[in-house]
Amino acid sequence: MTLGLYTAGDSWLHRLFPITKLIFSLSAIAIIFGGPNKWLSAILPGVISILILWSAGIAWRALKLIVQLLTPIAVILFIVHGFFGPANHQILMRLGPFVLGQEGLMYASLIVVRLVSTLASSLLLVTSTHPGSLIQALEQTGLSRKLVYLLGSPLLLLPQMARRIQTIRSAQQSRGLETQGNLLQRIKALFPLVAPLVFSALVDVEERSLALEVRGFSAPTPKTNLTEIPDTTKQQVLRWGMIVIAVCFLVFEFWRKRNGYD
Amino acid sequence: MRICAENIHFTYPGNVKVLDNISVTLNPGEKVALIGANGSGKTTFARHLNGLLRPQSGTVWVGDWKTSEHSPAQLAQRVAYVFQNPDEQLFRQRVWDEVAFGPQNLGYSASQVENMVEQALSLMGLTNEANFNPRDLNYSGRKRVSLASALAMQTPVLIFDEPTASLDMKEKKQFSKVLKTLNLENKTTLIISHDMDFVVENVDRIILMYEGKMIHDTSTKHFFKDKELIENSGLVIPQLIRLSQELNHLDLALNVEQFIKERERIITTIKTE
Ligand SMILES: Nc1ncnc2c1ncn2[C@@H]1O[C@H](COP(=O)(O)OP(=O)(O)OP(=O)(O)O)[C@@H](O)[C@H]1O
Ligand SMILES: [Mg+2]
Repeated sequence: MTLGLYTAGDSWLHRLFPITKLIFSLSAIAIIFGGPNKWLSAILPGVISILILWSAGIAWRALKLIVQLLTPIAVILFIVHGFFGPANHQILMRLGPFVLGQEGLMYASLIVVRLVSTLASSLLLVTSTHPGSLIQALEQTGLSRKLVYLLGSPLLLLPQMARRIQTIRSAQQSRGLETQGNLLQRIKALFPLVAPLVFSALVDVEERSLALEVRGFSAPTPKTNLTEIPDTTKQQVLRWGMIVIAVCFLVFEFWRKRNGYD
Repeated sequence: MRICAENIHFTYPGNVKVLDNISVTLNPGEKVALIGANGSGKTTFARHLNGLLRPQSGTVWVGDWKTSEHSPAQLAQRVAYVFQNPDEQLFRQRVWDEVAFGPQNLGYSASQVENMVEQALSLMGLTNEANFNPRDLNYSGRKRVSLASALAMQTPVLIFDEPTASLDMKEKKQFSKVLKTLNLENKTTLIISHDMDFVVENVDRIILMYEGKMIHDTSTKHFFKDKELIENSGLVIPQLIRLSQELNHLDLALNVEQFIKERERIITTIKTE
């Protein structure tokens, strides 16, 4: 069974407390978009993430995903900003009636680099953390159970949904529904696929909440977790360190901008 | 219509070999049960018969069609397949319309569709519920709607995955009648089931799957002779069969009526002696 993007493994990254990875991703994203020195802030978190993924042995998969997801977006960005960027001034090349401008190209590159970095630092969390562990870790930090469940269940349900879509498609094909073919056919095929998905999900939710209630999910007593995901003092320090660094960068950049250094 | 699998192999992504060199023929007018432990590959095999899955090597013939050359939607003209969970297919507001979906997809005219739907509804005892919303029926009601949806397609081959799982005794009896009707129409039926009592009473041939292989394939009467083989593959022999096996001078009885008849025959022979 595949659980979203999670790749099972036993590397040091896999064993890290999920919250540590979560804080890393969030700090990285904060720096990518708000750190001083646009280019360095955009590139560095990405490079660090990929090095970490590499040391955990899951860099290839992450890189493949990044390329798959971002290539089409990158192409569009380069074309739109390269040829039609509003700030285009310096001309690099002429292609018939179109001119390729340097400013637009640089701007598109910055966005692409930021996206690559963001994706890499998010994949660091997502590919090495079982969604269930993340939810449990959030709970261990003392967040409300209901809130955690609310936030976490879509994460856990996604793979199940994907499997169910597959089953529904098979069931309807067996009844003669053509799911391939031209656009009109595909649109016509949508309802028989989506309606059972919603219905069976509703049946599920009902059963799930009933099952939770009869087992005392909302009883007002403190809950015990059978297995604790291990956290360490070192990681706690590391987490605070990352938060402090990110906040410092943002504050520094804010201060710089306000004093007109850009 | 004849179904013929020739040396098929299938492995899911992630390298779980699920079908290991399977060759089997299902003949017109045959009621066949496919049994075996969880995960033995029954569903995977069945999905090859209407093209939902294609063998990685080997060939599946449905009549004169190779499944690899037709889409599942095309194969639906020949093979109807009822999935385990009705909630993963019901989508219309009326039972009648739901049952009409298959025949409409197959391109039958309005009057033909009407005929097919009425017939299927009456077979499954749903005539009075024709205007209900399928979602207002209970689970077994929804299950019967999904069975009717397949019957309405009037295909020469029918596959049922766990058809009796949620049915009560009365509904099972009714379904068993439906199978007899299909049999009279010379259809090929394959039933995947864990319900041994139902299987023993309703099919002529049983195929046992074990770890991706068909390890036992014979008539229902002969199936239980090799006790060891059956118990080793994780199956439990139905009580009645065990009883008549223990009283080994009896001819094997597959249902209670046969057992009583058999017993009476023995008693009269003993008395006359
Ligand atoms: N979509 C899939 N991807 C990967 N593995 C699968 C998939 N579907 C089934 N399997 C695996 O293939 C094996 C056979 O599954 P299958 O569903 O054919 O068994 P089955 O005999 O129908 O079992 P059951 O009696 O539980 O319905 C199992 O080990 C299962 O985990
Ligand atoms: Mg199955």
